[in-house]
Amino acid sequence: MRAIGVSHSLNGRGKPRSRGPARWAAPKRIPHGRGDTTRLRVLWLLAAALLLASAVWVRLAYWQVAQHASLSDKAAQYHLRQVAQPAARGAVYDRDMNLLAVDTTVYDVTLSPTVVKPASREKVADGLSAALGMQSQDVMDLLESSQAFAYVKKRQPKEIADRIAGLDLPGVGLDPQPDRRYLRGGTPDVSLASSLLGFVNYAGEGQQGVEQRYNARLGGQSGSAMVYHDPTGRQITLSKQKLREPVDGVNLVLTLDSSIQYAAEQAIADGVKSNKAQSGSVLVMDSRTGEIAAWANYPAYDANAFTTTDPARMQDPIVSAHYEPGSVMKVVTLAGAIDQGKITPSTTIQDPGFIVVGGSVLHDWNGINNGTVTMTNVLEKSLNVGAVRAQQAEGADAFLHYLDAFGITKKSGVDVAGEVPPTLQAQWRPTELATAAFGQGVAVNMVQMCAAINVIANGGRWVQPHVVKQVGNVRPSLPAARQAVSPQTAASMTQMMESVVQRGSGNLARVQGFEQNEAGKTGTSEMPENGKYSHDHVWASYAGFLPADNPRFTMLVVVRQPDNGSSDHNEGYYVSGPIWKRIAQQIIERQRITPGAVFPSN
Amino acid sequence: MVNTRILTTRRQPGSGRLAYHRRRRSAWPRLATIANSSTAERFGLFTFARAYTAAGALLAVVIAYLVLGAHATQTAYELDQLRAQNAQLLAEQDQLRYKDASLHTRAGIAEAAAAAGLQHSNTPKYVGYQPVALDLSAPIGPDRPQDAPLWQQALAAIVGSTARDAQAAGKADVWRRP
Repeated sequence: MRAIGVSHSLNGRGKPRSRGPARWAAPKRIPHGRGDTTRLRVLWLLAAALLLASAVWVRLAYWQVAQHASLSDKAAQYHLRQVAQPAARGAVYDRDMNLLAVDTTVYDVTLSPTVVKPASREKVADGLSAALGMQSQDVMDLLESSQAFAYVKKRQPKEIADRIAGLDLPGVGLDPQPDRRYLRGGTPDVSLASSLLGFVNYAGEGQQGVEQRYNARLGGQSGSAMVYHDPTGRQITLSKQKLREPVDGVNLVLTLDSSIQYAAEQAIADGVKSNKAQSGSVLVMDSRTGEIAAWANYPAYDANAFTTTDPARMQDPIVSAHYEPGSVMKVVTLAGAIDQGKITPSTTIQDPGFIVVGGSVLHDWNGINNGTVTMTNVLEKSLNVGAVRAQQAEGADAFLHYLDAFGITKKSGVDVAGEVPPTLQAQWRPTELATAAFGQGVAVNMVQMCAAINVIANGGRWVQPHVVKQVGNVRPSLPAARQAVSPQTAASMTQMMESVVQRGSGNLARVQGFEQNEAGKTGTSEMPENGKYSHDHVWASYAGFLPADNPRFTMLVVVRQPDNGSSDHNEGYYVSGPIWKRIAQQIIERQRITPGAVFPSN
Repeated sequence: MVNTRILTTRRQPGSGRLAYHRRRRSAWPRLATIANSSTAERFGLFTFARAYTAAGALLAVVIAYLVLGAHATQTAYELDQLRAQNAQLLAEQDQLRYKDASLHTRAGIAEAAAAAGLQHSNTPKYVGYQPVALDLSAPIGPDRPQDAPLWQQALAAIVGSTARDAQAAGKADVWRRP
C-alpha cells in the first residue's frame, strides 16, 4: 500500500515530514497510476449509491412521515367501513298492552352482476324470478349489465327472503330493513287507529299522529361502528373499533282501548255510508281522567301501505281540522250563564222564534213561535234564541271567560302531532257573540269540544285530554285539572242534558237500559263555503256522556256533509245520534257499565 | 526503552490474566462449551449464537402473532355469523309477535267468527228494572246453626244475648251483618 505509505510521509501541503533537522529537498512526484483510477471509481460509485440511497430514504420519509396521515386514511377507507347501528324502534301498545304497532324486518334483494359468472346467470335469473314473481328476462338484463351493484326488489317479506337465502345464489344479497307494521282496523284496507298512530316512513321518521309526536322517544338513537372488512366483505371484529352503541327507542302505552276503537271505526264507517256523508269522526274520552279510549275517522287509511295512500286521507280531521260545533256549544253558553247566576234551568223566556242582534235577525231552527220556554226547554229543543238570551244575560266578558275556561280559545294540548289552534275573533261584535252562543262562527277542533263537554261530566273540572299513558316506564306529567264551573252548575247542566235525551232532540241516542241516566246534546252547523254559510252542507254532531250520574265516558261524534235528501235528515240528532248510541252500547258491554241502582226510599 | 516485542506479545488476544477473567465472566458458559465443539465450530455457532437466538425468538413471536391473528380473525367471522343469526332470530321473533297480535285483534276474531258462521248481535237486551220490596233491616240468611258446645248454649240461654253477642264477635267474619 504505497499510497498510504506516501500519505504518512507527507504533511498537509505535500511537503515531506522530517524528524531531524530541516533539510531542503525537491518534493517527490506522486505518480498517477491504475490504483488511483480505481479509487476514484469506487468513490464515485459510493457517491452514486449514497445519492440513490438518499433518494430512496427521502422518498420513504416522504411517504411514511409526511404522507403518513393521508395514507393511513386511505388504508382505513379501504379496510374500514362505518356501519350504522340502527336503534330498534319502540312498540306501541293499547291500554291493555295489546300491540298496535311493531317493527318487523323486510329485505332488499340486491345483486352484484359482476360477481356472477356467465355460466351461473341463468340459474340466478330463474331462481330470483321464481322467488320474487318477476320476469326472468328482467333479472337477466340486470345480470348482463356492467353494474357492480343493483337492487332487484326492495322490501320483501321474510318468507321470500328465506326462500332466496335457501337457493344460495351467487352474487345475490339480502339487506335487512326495519318495517313498521300496524294491525287491521274496523273496516277493510284500513289499519287500526291509523289517524291517531300515524306511520313511519322508509327513513324511519314518524309521520302524523303519535308516531310523529313521540318520534324521538320511539326512534331512539342509532349508533355506528368502524368495522374491518376482508376482501370478500366479511366483517372482522377487532378491539380498536370506534363504536357508539345504539340506544333503542322506548315503548309507548296508549290510553286507547282497541276493542272500543274497533267498534267506533265500524260504527262511524257504517254511519258515514248510510248517511251518504263525506266523512265522520268519533272521539271517546274517559270522563274522569281525560284518557282517550277511541279516536276514529272514516275514511281512514292503511298505515302499512302509506306509499300508495292519498295524502289527503292522512290529514286527521279530529285534531288537524276545524269544525263549528253548532248547538253543542249551547252547553258551554248555558253553563256559563248558570255559573254566573244569571239563569237557572227553570228560568223562562219568551221565544218568538227569532231575535234581532246588531241589526241581524237570528232564527230558531224550527222557525216558529216557541212561546214561553224554560232554559231546560231551550236545551231540549235546541233553541237558538234561548242561547242568545242566556249569552246576553251573562255578558260578553263572562261569556268569553267561560269560553276560555272550557278550553275553547286555545289548543287542547293533546299529545298528538298536528293540532290546529282555534280560530276566534280578536274583537267580538254583538252578532258574533250571539252566533257563537249557539256554536256558529267559532271554529274549534274535536278534541277541544269533547274536553269542553267533559267539563260537565266531570263535576265542572276540565281535565287534559291525552292519548299516551306511559312512555317507557314513565307516566308523562299532565297539566293539572282546573275547575271551569262549579260542581252545582255541572250538576244542573247534567240534568238539563239528561232532559235532552229523555224529552228532547237526543231521543235517537237513547241507550236501552240507560234512558233515565244518559246526558247528551245534538249539534248541527252550516259549513262556510265561498264566504257564506251553506244551507246544504252541514256538520252533524252529537256529544254526550254516560251514565249521567257517574259518567264513565264522554263521546263526540261529528259527521261531515251528510246527504239524506232533506235538511231535517241531515241534522245531528238524526245522523250522529244513532252512531253515538251504537258505540255507547259497545262501550257499555266492554266496560260492564250498569245503570245506577235505584232503591225505593223508606 | 521499551521492547516492542514484549509489547506485541502482551497485546496478543486470548492470553494473559485479563483475557482469563473475561472468559470467566462470560454470561453463557454453555455456549462457550458448544463453541468449543467441532460441530459448533463448523457452523460458527459461537460467533452468531446471539443473533441466532434473537432471530429464533423473533420468529417465535411472529408465528405466535400470526396464530393469534388467525384465531382472532376466525373468531371475528364466527362472531359475524352469530350476529347474522341473532338478527335472523330477532326478525323471526318480531314476525311472530306481529302474527300473534294480528290473530288477537278484533278484526281477526271477527273474521274467524264470520268464517265459523257466527254473527255478532248489535241489539243487546237488558233485564228491565222492576222495583223489589226489600227489608234491608232484616237479617240475611237463615238463623245461625246451633253448632256451639252445649255448655255455651246453656250459658247463652241463662245470660241471654250478651253471651250470644260475645260469641258472635268471635266469628265476626262469618256473622257480620249490614
